[in-house]
Amino acid sequence: MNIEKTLIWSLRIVTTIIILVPLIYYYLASGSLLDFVMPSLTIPPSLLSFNPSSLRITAVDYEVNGETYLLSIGIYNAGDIGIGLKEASGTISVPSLNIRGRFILQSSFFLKPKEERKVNIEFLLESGTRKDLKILVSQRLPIEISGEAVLILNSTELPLNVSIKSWNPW
Amino acid sequence: MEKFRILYLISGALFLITSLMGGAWWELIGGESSKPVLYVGFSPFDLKVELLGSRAVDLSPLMTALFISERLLAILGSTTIIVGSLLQSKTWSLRLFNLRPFTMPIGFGVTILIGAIVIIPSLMRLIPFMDQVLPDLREALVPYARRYLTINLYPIMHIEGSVKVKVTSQFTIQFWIASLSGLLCLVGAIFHKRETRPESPLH
Repeated sequence: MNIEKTLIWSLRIVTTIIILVPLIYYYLASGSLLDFVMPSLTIPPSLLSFNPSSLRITAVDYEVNGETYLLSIGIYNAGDIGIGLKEASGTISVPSLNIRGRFILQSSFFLKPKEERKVNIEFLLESGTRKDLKILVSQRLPIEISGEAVLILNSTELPLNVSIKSWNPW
Repeated sequence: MEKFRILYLISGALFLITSLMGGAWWELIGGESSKPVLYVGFSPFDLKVELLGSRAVDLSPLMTALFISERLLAILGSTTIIVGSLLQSKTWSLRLFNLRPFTMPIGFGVTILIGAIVIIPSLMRLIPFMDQVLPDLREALVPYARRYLTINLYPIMHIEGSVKVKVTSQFTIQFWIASLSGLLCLVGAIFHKRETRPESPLH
């Protein structure tokens, strides 16, 4: 009986020590009650200022092969983190010009901050004319875009579905 | 060895391994699981938040102390169960049994579900902006409930549209091992009660 009581009390004491000692140690080691309670953010400032629209189109050239256009698009990364696309495909339309077509990114790309490069996209025009496309590019009209992509942010990858009714990437 | 001692022994060993092994019991992965944009790993012993591959949150000393206590309590609980199940000749060995392998995973699972079903919706009611930007955050956090999280772009970028990003909310193998340990512990406790129950008189 005595052993049982000793055992029970020993376990209770050990349990209390296990709970209290780390609390007391860390409380005494921290400067104030606020430091003791509050976790701190360690996100680099560049991530806090991340702007998803930091990819900007700087130039658009194209070659025509029947109804298929090979778009060569100059893209500039205006943000502070590396950004790119691994895969991208979907539809682009401009209701005001009755343009509609399917696009597919030909090869993945990654742009370091403040870097610019040309990206090739295959675009199959389903409705609209070449003249309408010229108007779209020259007037820099907003586009409607939907599709799937894998966004690269620094060393990470984010698969996503996009559905944007009015976007001005110019 | 009695049945309940065998069950307790396996339960204690499994729970000791889980407590020492570390690692998340529940994960929220935003993006590709091999290279996630957002990673949240939570267990009774640790919390890890990573954004774009970098650690995003340093735990407060209070959280660190609580996690250390939880881990030590789990180690103590499982060790006493193992010792108790092996010392069958000692009557006091029964005093070493406890239900910590059962209560900890159950408590953890309930905490995750309460967080996703009660706390997040309450927060979203308090902060309407959060509700506008992430309308289905609750569903995305509930384990195994949804694979995509909708982000409405208008409130943050003034672009009419939305982006659905791949998210995974799941319990990990560590959680399931701990749950198995808890189940064995519970069954052991039931067997123990049955085996030690005094037989009713015939007359």
